[in-house]
Parts: sequence; structure tokens; C-alpha cells
Amino acid sequence: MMPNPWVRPYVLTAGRTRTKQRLLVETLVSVPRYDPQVAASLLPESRALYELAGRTMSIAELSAHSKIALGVTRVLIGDLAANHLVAVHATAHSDRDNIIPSLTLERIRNGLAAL
Amino acid sequence: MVSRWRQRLARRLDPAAQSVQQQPAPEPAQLERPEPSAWPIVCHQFALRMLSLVEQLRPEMDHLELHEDDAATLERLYRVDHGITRLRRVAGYLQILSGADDEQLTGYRSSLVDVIREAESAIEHYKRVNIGRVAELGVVEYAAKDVAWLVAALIDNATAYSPAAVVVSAHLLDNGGIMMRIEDSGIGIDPRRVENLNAVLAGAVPDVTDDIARHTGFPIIHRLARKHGIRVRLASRPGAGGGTVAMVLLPPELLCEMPPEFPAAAGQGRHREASWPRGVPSAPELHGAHLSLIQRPSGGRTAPPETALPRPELAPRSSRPSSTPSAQPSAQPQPRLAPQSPLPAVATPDNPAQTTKSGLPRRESQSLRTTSPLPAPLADGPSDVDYGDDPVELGGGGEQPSVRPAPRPQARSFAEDLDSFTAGVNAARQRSAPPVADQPDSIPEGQPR
Repeated sequence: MMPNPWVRPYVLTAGRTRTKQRLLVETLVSVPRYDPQVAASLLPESRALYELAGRTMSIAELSAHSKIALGVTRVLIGDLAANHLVAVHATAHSDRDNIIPSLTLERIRNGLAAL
Repeated sequence: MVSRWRQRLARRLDPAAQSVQQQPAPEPAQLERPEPSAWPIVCHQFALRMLSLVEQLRPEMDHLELHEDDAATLERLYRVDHGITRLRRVAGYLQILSGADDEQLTGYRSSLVDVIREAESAIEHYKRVNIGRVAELGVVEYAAKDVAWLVAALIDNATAYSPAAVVVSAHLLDNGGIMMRIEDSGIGIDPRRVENLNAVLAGAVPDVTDDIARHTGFPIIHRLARKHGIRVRLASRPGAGGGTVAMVLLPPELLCEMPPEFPAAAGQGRHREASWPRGVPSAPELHGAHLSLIQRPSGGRTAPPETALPRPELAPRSSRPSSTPSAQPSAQPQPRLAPQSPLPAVATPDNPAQTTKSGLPRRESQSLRTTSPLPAPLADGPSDVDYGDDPVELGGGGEQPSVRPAPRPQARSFAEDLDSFTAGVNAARQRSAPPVADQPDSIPEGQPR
């Protein structure tokens, strides 16, 4: 079913476009402890993201699967993370020292090889 | 007839057009002429064009916003988007005030949450609106936009006069309808004024006058409410910071079930369960992570403080023990089943048989819009509707608005006018039929008109 197109994205985030935590498109997100009651209490978009993140996914994947705009996904995940409902995994860029660990490089290589 | 329709439009909007839009004053001779003013039609045409333009802009905005990765750019896009969305509401309101509101046959079926958020999208201070508990039902296609615009007018008003957040919630009533509550904590309205407003809202829709042209909110609310048989009532809470509560009663026939909005996510959830109606069972307290989670960054949970109401009996009766969420759906009245019964009453003289030879009810090829027993609960005179102090009525006690007869002598819609127009044309055609039948070849068909 097509969602109401006149529910504009800025309303979903109260106009916010930034998050406390740095959330890049490749940042991985997971749900440490899924609680159906929590899911039921969330507004539809947050609920969809919360449920999708039951499988560890990147911000970009979450946005693509839920068809929620990237900027909205980011802010909603930021809110979920601020309430400890999702865990945000460290990425190369989110670490303070900007050194890409070899593990990440290996994962990239493996990912490319799998394409 | 069309001429009468135009005259009515002229009566309604001509003063508004002159006073609000600063049009050059018409010459006195023009005013005295019996010809109807063209302004309502002009306004309607321009409103339609504006609506069409914003409809074209929306997908473009969607496209730009969808993949925008830069926070600053996205913020700018949001501001443009917000402007376009508010323009749409202005154009829509102009259309409604012009009196030529098109019968809405298509539209988006919309969940109540989305109806509220569509309204939020279209007002200036959307950041100060919080969503409280909202029943998991939808509003049917032909009414969703109008309900959103009605709510938009109310929350626009509420946010304009309330420094704190405005809370919007929607609760299921025993009669299968929905009561939406818009609560603000502004300085409140004088009780006498609230009474007056309620009396006006319960009465007939007045023509657009100079005064109305300056305060367009309530005339819009009034027209939209009347169109769909929605009732709107205000209540002022005494005391400092008491604020105002606006209650919007949606009749059951405007409501429908909603399919899951994000089916992709539904399959992935590990323990997804029916959460119907959401929010009514008390959900676990989280640090600001309840329904308002995605609404406000700082605000905590903002469920309506119903216990603080001076008239607690106005609170919806849909509150149920939180222990039996799974048993609720069967216990509920099924709103979409409600309005189906009195179809035979509309059998036309041409087609009096109400059952087929096989005994089955005969179908009438009429739109659902007209056959559903729209109650028009806002009756034409204030005396007809008890909007008074009987809170039981608003609480949805035993009242079934859909059962009440609906005398609507004044509130003739455009469609009704069109119907009488076509009926008149047909009658004229029948009167002129015999001579045509006598000389079938002399007058080509269609000419007698």
C-alpha cells in the first residue's frame, strides 16, 4: 500500500537532519535485545527500522529496505540509539584516529570479490 | 441549477475576495447587476491550478530528499518542502471557501497517524506538535485529506496560541467512531466564547462574510466537518496553563482498517505481534522513547494528561485493561461494517423493486459516498444537535450518529446541484419527446435541448 505522500519527511524527524552520533551510510546497526512491546509503541517508521535492524544492517541498507529516505533513516536510528534500542557499531570513519583497520580492509576486499 | 450554484458561490465568497485579496473595488453598477460574481469561480480555478502545481512539485522534492546525504542541504530542502506543503493547504482552503469543493472520489487511504502527520506537515509550527496515543485505524480515501486539513486548521490555531507543545491523539469510541483530541496549554479561550463557537460549529455553515474572511480557520473547519458528518467541539480548561481541548468526532463510516505500512519490515521482525490498538495498553516506559520518540529529540513521553481533565468523563472509553491486548480486536465494533444497511431506502421511482426475482437485494448503481447513511450529525440548526453540556454524548456512550435521520435542506453539495441540473435536463427532454417521436426524421437527435 502506498503511504500518504503528503506526510513530509521533515515531520518524521521534527525538522532535524543531524544526529549526535556520526552515522555514515556504511555504519552498521543492530538490535541488542528485541522487545515486541517496544516495537509496538513506536511510530511506523521507527518500528520498521527497529524490526529491520534485528538483522545487523548498514544505514544505507535500512533506508533501502524500508524505503525511508536516507536523511530520515539516519535521524530515526540516531533516536533509537540514544534510547539504547539499537546498537551502533564502530566504523573506520567514526573512530577518532582515522586509520582503517586491516580487518575492515579485508572485509572490503571480500565484499568486492563477492560481487 | 448552475446559475443558482453560481449565485450561492457569489454570495459566499464575493465579500471575502474583495476584502482579503485587496482586489480593486467593483464599480457600484457592477454590484447592483443581478449577474453573479465571477470571483468564486476564479478562486476555484486558481486554487485548482495551485494544487496541480504543488502535486507536480512533490515528487521532485521526494526525489531530492530521498538520497540527500548532506545535513545542511537536506535542511534547506526541508524548508522548501515545508513551504510547498503549506502552499498546498492555502490553495486547498481557498478551494473550500470558494464553495466549489470538488467531490473527492479518489485520494489516499491514510492511517490516523498519517492523517495527523499530514496535518502537521502543512502547518507552520509543526515542531511543537506531539503525537499521543493513536488508534490503529485508517480514514477512507475520500475523506482522508479533508480530515487532515480539518486537523491542520485546529493544530495551526493551537500552536499559534500555545507556547508549549500541542498533543494530538485519537481514541476509539464505543460506537466505532474515533475521537481525536487536540490539546494545547495556551492561555485558553473565554468560556463564553467557547460556548459561542460550539454553538456556531453545531449550526448551519454560514456564508463567508467580512469577519469570516479575516478568520478563515473556523469556517474551514465548519465546512469540512459538515461535508463528512464530523463533529467538532471545543472545551476550555480553567486555570493558568489550562489550555484548550478541541475534540473531533469521526463517524464510523469514515474509518477503515489499514494494511501494514511496511510489509518489508513485518516479515523480518522476530516476534511481531498484533498491537491493536496501539498505545491503549500501557506500553513500557522508556526514556523518551515512546510514541513521541521520533517526534521530538528532547521531549519525553507526551501522552495526553487525561487525568488532569476537569471533565474526566470526556475521556474516551476506549481505555482498556492493558493485560488483554490480543482479545481486543474481536471485542471491537467493526467500523467498516457499520454503514451498509439502509440501501433499499434509496430506491428510485424508476426502479422500485428492491429485490431481484431470485429474492436477492437489488443493487443500486450509486456511489458509496451517497448511499452510506452519512449522518450529518451537525444538523442545520443548533437546536437539532445537543452539543451542550452532556458529556455522555461526546464520550460516545450509546449514541449512534449513523442511525439518526439526516435532514439536510440547506447543505446541498455541488454533486446534488449537478444531480438536480441533470434531472431538469432529462425532464425537459421528456417533455419535448412526443413531437420528436412524431417526426423522427425531421429533427436530429440531441437538438431539442
